[in-house]
Amino acid sequence: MARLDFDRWDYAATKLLLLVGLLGVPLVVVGLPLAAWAGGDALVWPAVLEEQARVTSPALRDGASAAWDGGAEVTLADASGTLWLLTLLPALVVAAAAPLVTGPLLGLVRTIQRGESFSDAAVRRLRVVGLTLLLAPWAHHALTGIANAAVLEEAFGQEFWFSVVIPAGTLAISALGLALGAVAEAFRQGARLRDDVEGLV
Amino acid sequence: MPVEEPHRVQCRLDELLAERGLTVTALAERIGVTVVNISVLKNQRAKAVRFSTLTALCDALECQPGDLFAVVTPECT
Repeated sequence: MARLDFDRWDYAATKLLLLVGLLGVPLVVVGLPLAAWAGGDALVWPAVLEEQARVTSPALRDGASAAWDGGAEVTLADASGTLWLLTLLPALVVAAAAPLVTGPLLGLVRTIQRGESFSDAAVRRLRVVGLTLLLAPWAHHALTGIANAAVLEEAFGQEFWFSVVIPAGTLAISALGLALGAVAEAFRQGARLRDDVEGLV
Repeated sequence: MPVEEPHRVQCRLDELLAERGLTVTALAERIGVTVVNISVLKNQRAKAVRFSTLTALCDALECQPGDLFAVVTPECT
């Protein structure tokens, strides 16, 4: 059986993917809406509405049903600058989190490739990634809730309460953040062990 | 002292070698440890010593571990 190695091509592919994330994510999540705003396009917002409604359609066969899950796309042709900025806030969190995750991971891949996995730098990087994954999704959801209420208020002309849908994936990402914190602790112990071994006579 | 803090163990290998008229190379050859490792010990860069190395050192220098190492007070470091 062939040995399963993480060879230089795997390193190269990992670095390329992380680099794409580092540069691409901020560009897509903030750059595209900014370009739309600058170009005078309408503000399109994937809104979450609290009301639930049963979907009835003659196309549905007997025994089948479809339910509206509260998602709706709101388009505002004349959105104010404040509203544009509010809708950009969740994207800014993602844009800020992307380099905080991909940047340290890039550094980590380099240190692993150099054979210096158990180092203080690796521990710091893992902690930054873990903390970002733990907190950023919640900040994103909080700001999405605020922006959602503002968009709905503008669209419907009535007051909307802050409401937010937290997908199960958020908990998974936060759990991953905590797990990375534990991995960072293992790396810290490994770094200390390495330090001891280097001074062992 | 919490174990996270740097140690204050001082190795007196330098003095013991001088008293016995031995060189680092001669000691290294006698106990089968590399010259680099003996130098690490002599120059206070070692962080741990194997019991086997310590035994060999004590045998070669005809001394006890207490003669080889001393814990210095913080003011002395």
